[in-house]
Amino acid sequence: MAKRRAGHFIVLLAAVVFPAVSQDPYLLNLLIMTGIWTTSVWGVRLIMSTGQLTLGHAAYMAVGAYASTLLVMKAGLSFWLAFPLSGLISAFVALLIGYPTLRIKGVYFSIITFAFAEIIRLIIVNWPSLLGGYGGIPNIPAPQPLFSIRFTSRIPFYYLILAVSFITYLVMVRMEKSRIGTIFSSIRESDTLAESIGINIMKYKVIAFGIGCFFAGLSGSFYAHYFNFTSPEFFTIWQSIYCLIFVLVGGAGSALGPFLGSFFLTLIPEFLRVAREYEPVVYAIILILVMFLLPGGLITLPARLRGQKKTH
Amino acid sequence: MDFTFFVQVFVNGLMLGLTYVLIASGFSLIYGIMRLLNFAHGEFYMLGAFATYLLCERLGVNYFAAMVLSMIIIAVLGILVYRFFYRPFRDQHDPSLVIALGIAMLIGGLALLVFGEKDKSISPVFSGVIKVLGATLSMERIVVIIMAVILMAALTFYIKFSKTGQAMRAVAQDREAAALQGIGVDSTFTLCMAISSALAGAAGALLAPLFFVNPFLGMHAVLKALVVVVIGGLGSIPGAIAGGLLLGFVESFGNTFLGDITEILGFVMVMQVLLFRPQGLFGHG
Repeated sequence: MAKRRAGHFIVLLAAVVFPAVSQDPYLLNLLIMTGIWTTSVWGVRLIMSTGQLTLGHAAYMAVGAYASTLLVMKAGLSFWLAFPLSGLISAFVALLIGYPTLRIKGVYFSIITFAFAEIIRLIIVNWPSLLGGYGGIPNIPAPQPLFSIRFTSRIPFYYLILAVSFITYLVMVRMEKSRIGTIFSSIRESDTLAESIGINIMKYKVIAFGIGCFFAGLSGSFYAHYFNFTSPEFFTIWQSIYCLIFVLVGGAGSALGPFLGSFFLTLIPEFLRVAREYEPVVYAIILILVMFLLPGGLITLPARLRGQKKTH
Repeated sequence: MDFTFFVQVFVNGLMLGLTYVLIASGFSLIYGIMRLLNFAHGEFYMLGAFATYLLCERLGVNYFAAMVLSMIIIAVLGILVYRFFYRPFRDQHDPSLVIALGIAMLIGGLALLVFGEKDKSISPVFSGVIKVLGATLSMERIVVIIMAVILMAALTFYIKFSKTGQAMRAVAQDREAAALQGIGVDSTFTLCMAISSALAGAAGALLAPLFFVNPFLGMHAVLKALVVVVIGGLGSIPGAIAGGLLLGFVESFGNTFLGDITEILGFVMVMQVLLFRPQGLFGHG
């Protein structure tokens, strides 16, 4: 346990001091992307902890991105207000979808999240006057200065997403260890049994889905203001599937899994110097290899190498 | 609205609906028997279209021969995918779904690299039009309608009356009891994959001359199949037929009267079904 704490501390420390070592915008961008994905993907893991597989997570990032963009550009709100609001709006949309869908056991949830992701994209594409259509919305302002920190270079963005994803991580770990985390895993292990001892399984599945999508919304909002641009192309069905892949490749059994998966899979296409078109193929191959050779994800690799069989 | 126009929209809806039926029935078959959401099904359809395109345009094979060959090629591919990728995860629900997604991504991604993103088209196989109740209908569409009806009838009869079809239904109902009766579950699954994939290949071959062929067809097709099977009832072939036709008509009439927003109607229907009849129109409780 203490060893694990120390490991987490080292990762955090390395992340905090990194800009002092290198201010290479290219590397910073990759790390910021890792942070964006990690924040969102932790939501996927949370939803998975109730035994539900979401296949449309990027849609809730899109909701966050567009909500935040409209709140800032049309309603004139400050980014610092629009940012949490966009998370709440995503969570609200998730509740609307989750209520009818999570009532039914089985694969319906996966199917609906998959189909709904396409609907969100279609709404964006078919509503150019408000949502910019295919072309997207350009010139989204960067966040307002915070305590005289101005968001003009990548470093403040880096620290912002680091803070956001670290807080997300703390929330996730806290939840996992609390009563609600126990309830979630009891639903995952056997929803019939959980129901029989009086747990309102639908309520908890909806809660997990809502919170998971809250973080997707935050991540989407950050994305829009970081790139100053949002477009339906960022939030396709592929991105949703990537979210799931990041969790599974990193390892769903550990709270660090989503981070590891996002980190590894954001960096690997860059280091392999593969063109953008190859990305789905590379991800698909990595996913299939992990599924066959390392079902617990990369997080179980050290234990595997030490020859211990780790079970969770 | 005048009657001729109505007939035109109706026939368009019928054709579109049968397209969805062709794609969704194989998808539903797999779910009904193997409890697997085969996300690669759409990619099989896309490959069927490409196989037909290559055979017809590059090798000059006769269209119907190309269609049969495409069905065989895709069926073999389906069997291989089952043997190497699906079978190891057979009784694991979520992992099998994820591996199917991985295969879909792999096939879709490779197709994009190999064929490029440009639309390909097959030169028309049937020309001419016929007049039905005053509406002008192209021969091509009529052929698709006829072929789809034949394939669906064959599938329904096969599952209902043939020995292996009955074995499939037995496995779908209770895998262990079926195994105790001496039905080979694994060989039934293999056969089921072959039939489903052949249907996807046939759908690809039939629709290739009507639409453009490109690597993005697969994702689009699987999305439609999902909508259809939820409306009709997961795992039910009559459900896939009813759901597919319903979606076809709704989209055809919707496109005529509502425009682009129609794409969303299918999803609205899905939500209605889930709220009021979650097992789908033809599903069992």
